Amino acid sequence: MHARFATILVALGVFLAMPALAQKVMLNPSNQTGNAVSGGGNEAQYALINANNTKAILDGAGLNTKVDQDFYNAPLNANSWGADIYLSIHSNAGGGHGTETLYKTDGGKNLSTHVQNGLVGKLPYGDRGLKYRNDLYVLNQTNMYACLPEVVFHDCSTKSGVKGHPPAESDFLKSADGQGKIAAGLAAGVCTYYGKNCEGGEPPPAKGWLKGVVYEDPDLEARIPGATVTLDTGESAVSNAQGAWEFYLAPGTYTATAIKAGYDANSSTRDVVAGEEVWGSIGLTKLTQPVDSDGDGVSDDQDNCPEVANPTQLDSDADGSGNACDLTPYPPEIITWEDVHDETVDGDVGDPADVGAEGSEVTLLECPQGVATKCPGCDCECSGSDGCSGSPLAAGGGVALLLLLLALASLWGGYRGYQRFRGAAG
Amino acid sequence: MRTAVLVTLLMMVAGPLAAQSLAAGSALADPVYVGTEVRLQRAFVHPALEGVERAGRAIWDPSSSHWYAAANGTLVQVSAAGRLLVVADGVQGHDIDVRLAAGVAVSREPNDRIVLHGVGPERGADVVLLEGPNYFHPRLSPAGTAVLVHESRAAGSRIWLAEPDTVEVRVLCAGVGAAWHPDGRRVVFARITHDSRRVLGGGLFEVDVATGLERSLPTPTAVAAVEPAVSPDGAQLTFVDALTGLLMTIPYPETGKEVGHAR
Repeated sequence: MHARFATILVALGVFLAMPALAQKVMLNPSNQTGNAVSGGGNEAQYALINANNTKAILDGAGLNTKVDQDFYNAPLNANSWGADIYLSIHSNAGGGHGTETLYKTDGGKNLSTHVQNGLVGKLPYGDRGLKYRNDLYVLNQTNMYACLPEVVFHDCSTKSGVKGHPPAESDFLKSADGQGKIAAGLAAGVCTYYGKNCEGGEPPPAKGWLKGVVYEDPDLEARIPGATVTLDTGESAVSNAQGAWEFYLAPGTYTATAIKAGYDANSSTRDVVAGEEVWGSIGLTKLTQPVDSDGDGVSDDQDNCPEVANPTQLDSDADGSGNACDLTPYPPEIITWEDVHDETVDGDVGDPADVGAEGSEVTLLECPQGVATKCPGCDCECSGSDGCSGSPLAAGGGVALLLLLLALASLWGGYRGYQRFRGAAG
Repeated sequence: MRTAVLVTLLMMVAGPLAAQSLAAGSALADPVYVGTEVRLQRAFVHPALEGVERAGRAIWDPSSSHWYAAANGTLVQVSAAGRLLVVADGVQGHDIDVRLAAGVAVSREPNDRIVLHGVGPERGADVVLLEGPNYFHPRLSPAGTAVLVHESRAAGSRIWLAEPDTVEVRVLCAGVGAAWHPDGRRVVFARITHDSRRVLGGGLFEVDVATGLERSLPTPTAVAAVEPAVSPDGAQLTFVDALTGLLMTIPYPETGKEVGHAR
């Protein structure tokens, strides 16, 4: 239990020590040029100023911010870019007063809470709270958490502030002071959402991530652990069990080369950007150069003993395994019918002195059923389809019967000849 | 002209061929034909990509009949067995399109470049087609010889056409949500009206890529048609009604009113 707790603490420490990536923030100022602001101008005009001022603060705090004022395409552009959060900056109309933020999803509500608090903390107007809306295009089309702050009522031309004696909301929206406070409020909301202190001058990240996996080309899921990945700067890392590797680097162009025994080396070249991560996964292919593990001059894929040097590749029994590493390097000896009746002790198989000679292997092949032969490992004459079954007596009895019949036939022939001789004499 | 009116009247009476409700309250769509079936590409997370770091949404390539996605800084094909096979590397962006048969893919990269990649065994050199923060959603023509690119722009959304063989990049028309007709000679797209919070109306158009001639495509009345897609045989037109969130399919209107030239 203590060990598990310690592991969690270590993992948490590593996580907290990791430099954070720059969050991608899409700011989408209202596109509504038809909504007039009391005293001059329109909603889109001031929303764009507020978005650009907010971007300046967020970029300065190390976030990656874009401004897109296209109504239909901005959410799609944010999806394409991979934005982390989306703020559609508007101002309200219809006779009310104060600040409100609209959301659709739970994640959007959390973001809205921070943005609303940021605005209310900077603006001298009432807090109208958060409002759920499922009919707004930008909240429906965005893949990421999104909200739509209505910063003030642009059609309000009367002094309606609740904190001191602020100007009318429309005048506030048009003033440099008001615009500065609106941007500060929006930025504060985004920064607290990310746990950052944008007003404290938190320095933006100076480095970025170069990450990747090493895989067996082309199968991305066939990861190669233990590969050495070396940068052109000399820095190196070893791919982990998932084949993953990473470097935290100053901005610049880097070439990472992965090597692993049995594979061709391969490289990827990537541009590292501060605060961002770029992937340079490397696919390795199995070596195309022949491998000769035993150094006998014959490549492993052709060698009949790849781990034992045998330049001659001698393979007496032609079983594909060279004599140098074959437990039974010689071919089996075949006993034929003729060998069985070989009465000459001449060094081959067949006669009793030859069969089973040391160093030879004896296998009985084509042993005719019922024919006696000599079996290895037994001293008996035997018969049968396997050459070694049956009774030695039965085999011997057959031969005796044959001799008896021949003897009887001989006696019968002699008797008939004697009868013809007696007849001729009488 | 009479035929066009008749088609419109028929659709008004009979309604679309099919209507399918999207997720409640959501207009996330980007419909695409996968064979004869319509899939909502933008919301589709391929199961083979679950758990893969930096995996994007899968897109369908009709030229190879496979799904593709960006993953781990590469472009992968999801094989029939569910394996992820790398067909191009150096692809960081998730907004991609692929025509494997033509050996090309296109992506919107994090550095705001629209890049044409060589895919397959040869994996040719990358070509930057457009560069800027507001270019997105590149779409390859059926033959993979031209690329549509959308431009997000406060002064009016535009659709660009890049033809890498001729190194020509030009504005094709003003509009949103463009898709290729399967004949590769036409592009269908939408034009909308809005109040900065909601889409109030939308109509579909087609533009002849060679001549720039634009033609309106009649759709049922009381519909704000956006995000068109044309069936592989060119017979059907699918789109999203931005007012109701319904996915609708109608016969492709081969007759429609000419509305001018895009250029």
